[in-house]
Amino acid sequence: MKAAWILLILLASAILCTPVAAEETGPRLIVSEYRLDPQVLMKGDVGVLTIRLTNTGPDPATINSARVNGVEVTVKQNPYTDVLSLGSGDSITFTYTVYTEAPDGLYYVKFTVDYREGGQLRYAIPVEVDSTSLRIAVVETPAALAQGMKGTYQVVVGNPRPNAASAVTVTPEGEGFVVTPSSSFVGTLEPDAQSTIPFMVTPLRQSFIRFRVNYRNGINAHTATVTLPLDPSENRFTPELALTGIRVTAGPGYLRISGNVTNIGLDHARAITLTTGGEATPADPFRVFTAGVLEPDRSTPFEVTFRAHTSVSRVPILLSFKDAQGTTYTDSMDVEFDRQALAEQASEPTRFIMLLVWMLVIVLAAVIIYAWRKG
Amino acid sequence: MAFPLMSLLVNPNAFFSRDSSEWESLRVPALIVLAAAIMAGATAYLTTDLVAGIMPSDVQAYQGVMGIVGTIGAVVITFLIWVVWSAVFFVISLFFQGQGTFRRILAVTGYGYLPILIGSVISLVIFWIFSPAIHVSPVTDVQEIQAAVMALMHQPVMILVSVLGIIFLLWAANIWIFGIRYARVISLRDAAITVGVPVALYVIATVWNMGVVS
Repeated sequence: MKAAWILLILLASAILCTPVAAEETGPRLIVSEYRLDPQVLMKGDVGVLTIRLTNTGPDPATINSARVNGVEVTVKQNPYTDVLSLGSGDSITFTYTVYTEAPDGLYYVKFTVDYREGGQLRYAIPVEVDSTSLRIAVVETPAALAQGMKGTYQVVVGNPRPNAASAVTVTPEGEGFVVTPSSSFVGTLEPDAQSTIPFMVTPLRQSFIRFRVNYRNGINAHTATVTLPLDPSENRFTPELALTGIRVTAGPGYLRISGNVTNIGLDHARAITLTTGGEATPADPFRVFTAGVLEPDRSTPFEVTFRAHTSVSRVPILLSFKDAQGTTYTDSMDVEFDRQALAEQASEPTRFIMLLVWMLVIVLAAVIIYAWRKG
Repeated sequence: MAFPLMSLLVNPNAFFSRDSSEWESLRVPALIVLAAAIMAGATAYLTTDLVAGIMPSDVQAYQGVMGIVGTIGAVVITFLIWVVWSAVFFVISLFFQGQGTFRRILAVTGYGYLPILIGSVISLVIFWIFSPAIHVSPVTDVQEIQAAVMALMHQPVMILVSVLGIIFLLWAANIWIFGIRYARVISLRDAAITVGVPVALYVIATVWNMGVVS
């Protein structure tokens, strides 16, 4: 009787200690390998689960179906419902598409194989869900952010995920600045690895700059961003032009604006051009005024000529110049003028001439009187 | 013999009372008219430059041609007007039994162009100095050209030139009166009517066109 009890205990232990839950009553099939791509899913991700089944028994095995089931991690499709035969020592690979909306955690999907002769092989496969995203941070900004001046932003992308991220790309976004490079490709970022990318940013006005990292977890696209304000101060070392001594006069068939253009900035102004805009039509002889380099605190006289309808009494002067970096600056200044004043200017000499006219009239009268007296 | 310039200008009676053989030649009058015509041509060239500024931009491409045509036209028209004035004086003086030939009237009228020549020089200088102050804008509609030209002609400088033209025309009329008197052998009163009526009509028409009288 005691020997019978020992035998029963040994038999139970043999059953409970079997490492793979293979059904001992049928063929000897085992899950020799499984793989999930990506290794760790993020919430909303789709993964590809590959399971390799091997016949380790001496006889061929025939199965009716092989399927995967799960609760938190679901299978999109179970395509293997046909009868399959697996010879001794042969293997077969099953591929399933899994999907999860579960929060972070470790979940299991159940792989079940139905034998034709009856019985099943059941195998639990762990699936890890971790929605931690890549980290992107700006670790270095220009000491002084000046309008129109380039500054370097050091952007770091780190991977705190337990698996690698692929196709990592960092792209700056926004308006009101010029940036190079327009995008930077990092490639694959291993777990706990990081990459530093420099971006040369030239702010043109107050705005925001957003650095976006795009990456893939398996076949799933993800993104993360970091946004910084761009609040450039006025560049103290740029050229700045001012127009002074503006005078509007009339010419033969055109109006003339003359004055001085002065560089009140702290840097050389280059490729200076002045012309009229708005309702004014630049006209010869000075459609456009151009000047080469104008040093700080220096001025040069300018003159532009234009035509405008008689109803126009204000025209903008369009200024354009460049700094040493080749950045183009534009500005405009409205010049008002009084058409009546120009008309008076035109007729002002007439007052003097009218004196001459009256003198001529008097001379003529004297001549006529003299001639008629003599006649 | 020196040309009695001052006599012609201030005492035309003395100039024309000389023997007619001394003044009835057309050579000197024609030279005076030619000089006046050249002055008129120069003024016309400057005026064309202004008028071209009014024209649409595609027409302005022909500004050079317009200037040449305007200059030649002014020269030719000056000679024509010389003949027209002479013809008018000749016809009117017929009513007063004038006897002289048309050639003599041409000579008298030509001498009368001397103050007109002086006036043309003064006008040209004034126009040269002050025309840059005239502002014109190109028109976009052809129908606006006439109004724009009228506006141009009413510019102070243009009116001043017209007024000077009238003054020197009156001076010329004074010479013409005494010249016609001797050329057609009529009384001073008849000569005054012969010259005064058409000149007065011309002056009235000019003033009317200036817009002073409307």
